[in-house]
Amino acid sequence: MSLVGLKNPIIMAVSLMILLATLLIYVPRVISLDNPHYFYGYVYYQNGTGVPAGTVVTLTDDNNGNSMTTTTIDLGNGTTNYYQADLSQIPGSADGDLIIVNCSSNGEVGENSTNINISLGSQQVDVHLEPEVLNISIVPSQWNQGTISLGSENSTSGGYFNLTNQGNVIINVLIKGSNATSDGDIWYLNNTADYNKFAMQYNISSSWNAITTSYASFVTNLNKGNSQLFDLKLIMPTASSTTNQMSFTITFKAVKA
Amino acid sequence: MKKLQVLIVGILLIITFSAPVVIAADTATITITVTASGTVSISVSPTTWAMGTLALGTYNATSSTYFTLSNDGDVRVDTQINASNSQNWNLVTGTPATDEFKIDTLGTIAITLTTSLQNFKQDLDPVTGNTYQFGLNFTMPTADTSGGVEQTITVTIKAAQG
Repeated sequence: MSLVGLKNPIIMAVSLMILLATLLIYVPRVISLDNPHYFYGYVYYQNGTGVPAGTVVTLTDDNNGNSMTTTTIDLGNGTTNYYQADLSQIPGSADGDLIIVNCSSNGEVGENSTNINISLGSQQVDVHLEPEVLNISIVPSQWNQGTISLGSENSTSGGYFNLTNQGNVIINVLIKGSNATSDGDIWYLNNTADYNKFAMQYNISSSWNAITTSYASFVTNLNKGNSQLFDLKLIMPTASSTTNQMSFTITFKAVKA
Repeated sequence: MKKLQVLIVGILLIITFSAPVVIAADTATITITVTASGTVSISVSPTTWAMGTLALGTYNATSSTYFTLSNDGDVRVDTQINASNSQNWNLVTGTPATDEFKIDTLGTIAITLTTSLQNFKQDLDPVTGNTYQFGLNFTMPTADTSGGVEQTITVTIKAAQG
């Protein structure tokens, strides 16, 4: 074997070793901004007045979910709604990250957001609060099942229903069902099916849970704008005194988390 | 006057400290409709009534609870009833003449049977009160031209989902 013949394999081997060494040395690290970088601003109620000193302001890095809190301070001239925060205190914060500033006070809530731009120096981000709004929607809002045999089941699949938090606060959602009625006939909502008794269940993960006529927890800490997909299952009565079309409702109620 | 001042202060405090929560639609509903489809099944017991030999122009009746109609299905039913002619005699609703007979039901539902279906027991529940008891009254012909041949008559009860 000639020297020329060995040359390329040696070069390739050395190159691979250097590449491997480089890969082994590189360790991803979560680092924050190297130097202090301040967000500051004022927090106002809907009527234009400032929030009191001591009001908690939360700053969240939307790129990594990490956050920090600070409070509004009294500047001494009657201004009590001023805050400032050093974003280098947020683990993993980096230039360009989207920072969400939110605050709630006395039943009002609000947020504002902007990207970190170190070249600008300190950045002003004011927050204007508005009354808390509880608002949920469900699509679709009807489930017409047609004719189903007594003693059988019928369910949706694949997250057929979609509940969305349309309000501006994080909510818990409760669920309950009603009895089924038609022209004086009634089927009672029950945990198990029986004579003139039917059962309803919901599924938000991988298991079916009973729905009763009393409110029970359905989902917790649903952020504003977020949705929860779910399915429903109807378990028909084992026997019925009526063959009228029966109608009933599943009700969802939002409460502030 | 002092009470009025206290009341006003109270109202002001309530206004001041009420959290301005706006409830746009804190509830949402899904309306569900469904119609039950069940199994229709009925039975009657006993299924035969052997009257033996009866004199012409007479009648023979069971008790008003001799027969029991049962809903054996899982859904409420409405029933209808009729009777057939026999080999040589015809079913009538008036007073029977030669080669004619009549059958009346006994019990809370009293009707004279015809060869056509008539409404009988309605809303027979599959569970609660799922039986109905009744009897029959058979009126013989005034004369028979068949020469005393035994006659067979069928009473039919039909059920439909109620």
